[in-house]
Amino acid sequence: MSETDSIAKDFSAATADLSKETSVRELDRSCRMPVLFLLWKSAGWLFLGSLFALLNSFRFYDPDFLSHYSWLTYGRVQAAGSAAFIYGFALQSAMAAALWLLARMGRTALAQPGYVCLGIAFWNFGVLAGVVGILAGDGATSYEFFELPKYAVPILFVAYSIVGGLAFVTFWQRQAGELYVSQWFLFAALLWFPWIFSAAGLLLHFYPVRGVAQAVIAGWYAAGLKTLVLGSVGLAVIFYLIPKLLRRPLHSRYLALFSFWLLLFFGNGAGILSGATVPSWISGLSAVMSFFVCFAAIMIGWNLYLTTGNQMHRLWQPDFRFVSLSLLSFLLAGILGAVNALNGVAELTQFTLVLPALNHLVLGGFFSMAVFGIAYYLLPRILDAEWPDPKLANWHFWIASLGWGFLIAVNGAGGLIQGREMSHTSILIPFAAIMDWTVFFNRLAIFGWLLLLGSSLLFLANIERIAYRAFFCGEKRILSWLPNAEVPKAVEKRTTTAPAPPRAKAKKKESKKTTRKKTAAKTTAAKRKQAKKAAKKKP
Amino acid sequence: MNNGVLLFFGVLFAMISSWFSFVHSPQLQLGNQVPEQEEATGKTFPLPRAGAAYRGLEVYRQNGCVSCHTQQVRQKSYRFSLVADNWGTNTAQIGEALSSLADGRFKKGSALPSAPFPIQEDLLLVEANRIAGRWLDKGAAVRRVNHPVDADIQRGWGFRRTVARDYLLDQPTMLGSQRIGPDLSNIGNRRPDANWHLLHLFQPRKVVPNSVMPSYSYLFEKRDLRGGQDANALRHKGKLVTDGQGRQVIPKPAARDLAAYLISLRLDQPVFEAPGLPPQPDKSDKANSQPIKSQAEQTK
Repeated sequence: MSETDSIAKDFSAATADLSKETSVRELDRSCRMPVLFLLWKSAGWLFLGSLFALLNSFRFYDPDFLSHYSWLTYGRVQAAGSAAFIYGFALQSAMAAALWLLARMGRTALAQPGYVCLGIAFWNFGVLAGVVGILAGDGATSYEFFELPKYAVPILFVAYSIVGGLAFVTFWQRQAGELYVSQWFLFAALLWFPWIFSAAGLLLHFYPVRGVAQAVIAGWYAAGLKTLVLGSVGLAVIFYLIPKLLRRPLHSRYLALFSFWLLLFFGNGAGILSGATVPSWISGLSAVMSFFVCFAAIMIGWNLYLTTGNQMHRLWQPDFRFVSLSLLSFLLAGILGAVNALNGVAELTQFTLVLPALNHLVLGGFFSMAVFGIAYYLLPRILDAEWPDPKLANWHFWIASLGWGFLIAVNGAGGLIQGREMSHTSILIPFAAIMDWTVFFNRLAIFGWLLLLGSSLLFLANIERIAYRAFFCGEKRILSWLPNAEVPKAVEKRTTTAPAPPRAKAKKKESKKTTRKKTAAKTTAAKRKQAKKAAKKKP
Repeated sequence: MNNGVLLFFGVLFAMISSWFSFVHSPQLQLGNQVPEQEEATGKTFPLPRAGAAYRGLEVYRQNGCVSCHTQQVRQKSYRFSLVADNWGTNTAQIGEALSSLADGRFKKGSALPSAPFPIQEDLLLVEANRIAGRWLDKGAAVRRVNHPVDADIQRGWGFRRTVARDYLLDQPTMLGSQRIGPDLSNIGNRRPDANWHLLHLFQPRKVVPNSVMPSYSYLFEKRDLRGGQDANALRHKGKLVTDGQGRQVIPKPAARDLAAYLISLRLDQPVFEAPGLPPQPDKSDKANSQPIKSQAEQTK
């Protein structure tokens, strides 16, 4: 069969299939309310979290600012800001990305959108209870990323069970037989979160373990949350968006598979505290795991680099920027995480500002950039409307990336100086002198938080504007948020299947699970070859 | 990998291995610790904190003090010194060996110095063992003393590193990961004075210039002076401390509890896992401050 034939057949098969099974527009519409709700709420919590962080960084200029109110004291605001960022922004935007991606890649409508919305409302109630509780003095302030008070934990768990459970049902009802890389990652994140969350809640709040074991479990929870829950969702977005926007198939599925298992088995222990008080095998094991994670990160970067082929320059185009920067940060975080696990470096960076810098790199540079990227991609699709002002998305990118970059640079540099001075033994530097240095960098950080506050406000405004336009202005067109990315509708639809090449072509007219397997076995083998050929030779 | 069930079991297996390595094993190793009697000192360690100090931990947690203060002392390595407890009977050889010491503390022919006598300091383990062997050959009873080495320890933040057992009775543990302020694991040794802590909580810059710690004035009650001076009102160098509006400042129970907790933070016992010499009580420091006996003593 000639090339053009196969392309033509491929093309007609895709469009024909789309008309019969759940159409892309239908499944996008099923995601509309839950995903919009999640993104809107997450932007709001991001704004609140940045506001808390800004307030605290202003305290380095005037320590007594608002110090008469117990609920606004530094420590409580710090913990509340962290909880708002993690549970309000990060996990909610991760859920938004996961729900939409699972529906899109499974080619099925989201299961029970109404109940999902209920779960989200409940989740937000839990986060609110948590943040207010921390400000009221109920927070478990010593567990980083798990500062929630006792009563917020079951609320959040029940809320997650609803949302995560229905996401799981959506995954299970998928029409497309072959799983794409992003789906593995989303599936892992979906299962990992309730596991570590319930384990941490039970072992830290309800049946608390004794002594230092608490700190180990809190560290294990934080590592799992960063690498395997938020990190997995971020990687799912990267693996989805880069091949999709480039319209090229992923370079190697097996390389991705290998890095997936590597991350899954070793990501849960990377970067656990190397405290002076925990048994040293824990930090030793964690260091080894950090190296495996670094290895996986490099493999993922390499895989996606090869995916770009000769299109490398396109990665800096406006609609790629968020996700390219996210991939870059992920690579950097993997490498720096391994460097930080080295014994000599760990001694230097322990208890310094380097730790927040690394957290900012993972949560800000990598994760938040990925979800911003997918949010700008999916919102016009689920809302059936065009971005009112695409320039604002670009502004958001620049302000957010400058903000995070500034924070990472300032905290990293400050932390290295702080660590070097603190570990001098030949000449003992008085702590007051070290503190003056640290405070200087803490003061500088206020500019980063100002930028981030602005970026979160911009994100919120962008979401609200497109939602306003979709619901009240009646524009009914599926368009990308950037004019130059506009493509004819048919091609646009076809490319929705591009990263996971062949599965759309399998005949799934009956769309039942049993028939799915049969048809996959019978018909896909031959068609897959054609499709791969076609995808490779496509200009 | 297209099989959802296979994927599920793979993820489950990863979870189980993660659980065993980071939850189950640490719990097996650390979870069953109990306070034990130390062989070296004969004291039980750790002891629960007394009432006010116990409540103070809650105040410490509520206000998130842990976001700026660690309670972990690190230790890089050990240096060793040799101390002679008994010279034995071979006085001639011992005298000769003593006179050949580099520092020239002992002159040949004079009477042997009274034991315990520090022979040599700042040795590596190998050196210390070799030199100790030589002295033992001559019949002297020589003991090796461990000296933990680290900037934290030089800074006076503790005489030994902290170990898992130090936090056994704290719920929750307050390890901390940031040192925006100093480490607090031995703040009770450095600052045994409750009044200093109360002053510092009310207005840190009164006692520590350039401090960036926020004021915790909400832990204090401000009362008009017209009602007469309260006996518990804060005083600094004998003078009554007042707030911006000239009112006297009286610590609330939470402030007293927090101060009691901070004073109770003292690790002045060597433990089996981290040997070392506890610091000798500094008399000059005690003259300046008046420790609150009830609280400080109870926790010992």
